[in-house]
Amino acid sequence: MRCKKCINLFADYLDKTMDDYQVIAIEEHLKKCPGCSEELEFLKKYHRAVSSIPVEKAPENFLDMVHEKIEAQDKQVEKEGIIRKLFFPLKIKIPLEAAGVLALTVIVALVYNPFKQAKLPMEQEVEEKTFEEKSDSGLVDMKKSISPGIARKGEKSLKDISVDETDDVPIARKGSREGDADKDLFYSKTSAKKEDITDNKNAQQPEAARKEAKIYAMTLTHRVIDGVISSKDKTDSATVAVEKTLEKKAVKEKSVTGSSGAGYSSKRASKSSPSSIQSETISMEKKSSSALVSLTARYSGKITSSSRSGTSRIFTILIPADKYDSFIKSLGQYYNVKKGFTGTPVQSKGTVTVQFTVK
Amino acid sequence: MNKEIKTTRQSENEDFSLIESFNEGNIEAFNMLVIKHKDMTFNLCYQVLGDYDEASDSAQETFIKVYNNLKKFKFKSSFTTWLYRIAVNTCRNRLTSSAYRKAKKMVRINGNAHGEENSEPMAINDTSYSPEKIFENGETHQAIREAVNSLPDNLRILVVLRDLEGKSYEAISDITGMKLGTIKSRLARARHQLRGLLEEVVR
Repeated sequence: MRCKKCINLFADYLDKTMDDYQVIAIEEHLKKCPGCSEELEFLKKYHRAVSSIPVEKAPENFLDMVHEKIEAQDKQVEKEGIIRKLFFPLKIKIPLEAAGVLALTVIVALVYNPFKQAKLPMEQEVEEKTFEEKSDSGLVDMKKSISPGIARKGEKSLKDISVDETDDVPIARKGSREGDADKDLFYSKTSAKKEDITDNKNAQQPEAARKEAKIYAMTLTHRVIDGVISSKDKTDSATVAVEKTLEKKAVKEKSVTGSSGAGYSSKRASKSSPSSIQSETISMEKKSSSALVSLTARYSGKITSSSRSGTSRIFTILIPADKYDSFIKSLGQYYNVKKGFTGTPVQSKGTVTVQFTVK
Repeated sequence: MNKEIKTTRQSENEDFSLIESFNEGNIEAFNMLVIKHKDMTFNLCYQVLGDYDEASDSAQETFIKVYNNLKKFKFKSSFTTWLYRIAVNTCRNRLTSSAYRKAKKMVRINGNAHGEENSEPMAINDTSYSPEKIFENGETHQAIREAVNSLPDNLRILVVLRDLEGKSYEAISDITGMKLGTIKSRLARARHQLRGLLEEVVR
């Protein structure tokens, strides 16, 4: 056994916790090694000396000193108080700082109000809806909302815009309605006059014309709202009157005027006719007939006659019966006509002759 | 031996009862724990730090930590092991603090731990007061303390726990977190160093 290993085992040797063979090995080594023998002798004396060292006692007022320090500690904690509670531990600190940043952001947003200008289209809707609420009971609820993208900053207000019948500005309409095949309908200026229907997508229309079209559409809608007929609600007297008229298959003219006196008139006539043919006369105030013309073509209809009567234009249009409802719905995009406006049961076969009066 | 084991177990059970009583709000239970273990704790701190005032501060700090954390005691080890662990760590922190290192240079060693002046005051690093000379004045114990204080911190703590406090290797392993083999090898090294200082002192 080497001296280094032997010295490391002296502690267990003295504690008498070694195996017998290890004890024998150490004793054999000690016989041969004076250095290790001296080391072992020192350790024995050392342990004797150390074991005689008395235990040092704590001061007599040790407990009082401990309590004094505990009280001082409690006072310190109480003194730090709210600040410590707010900022320690981090679980409180971080959310608090985050809340502070959020509050600052909200204050800045309220002060500078960056979203003010984006409210214009919303305001338009509010105006429309407000007008609807103020309308008479005989007014149709025209809740068609304008596409928010239409309004542009700096544009004239609706009332300031005047659209001449001869303008025939392109019409742009976004959004799809139920059962409506026409999502975007654009007409060039010249094509409208020639009744040449051109169906272009938004991307092909000049920017200025597009803007103008949107203004027009807005104007148009707004004007239509001025005078509307009642909805399909059976409790509405105007609708009921129309339905009765149709049921009797008598040609009657009924006009319902809105509160603003804009003169949206509705003429509906149905003839007793062979079962395959129905005819109705509907007049609506519109400054441009281009939408009417293009939709007629789209729904495989025909404009059988077109005439003027004073300041009005009268179109007689032949529409396939099975497409009549869709046709009326599409018109409703431009004139805010609600579904079921006609209240007329349309046969699936034959054609429907409709007379439109554009005022 | 069996009697000693029974005494130890009784003592542990008594400690657990006092801890449970304290956790229920009985502050007197804490006082009893302090009274029971204060001498043992103070002695450990004194043997490690080598200074009476430092030992007193460290022992008080140990019991304040016990007061603050007694509710976290999980009853997995004995209370004395847990208490020793706190005391050893407190002493370690104090040994490594810069304030202690500065004060160590100017510590005056008096005749005994209570500050009575039995002999001329001296500084630790005063080579004219070697352990041999202290021995000549019959101060074997003081010489041993001085020799132990001259050891590196990690060896000093092991020597105090094993040789002066009489703790088992397993208990030292629980207190310090060291492995048994490491403890034994370091103790052997420490004693070899002490032999150089105390060979002529101890008889």
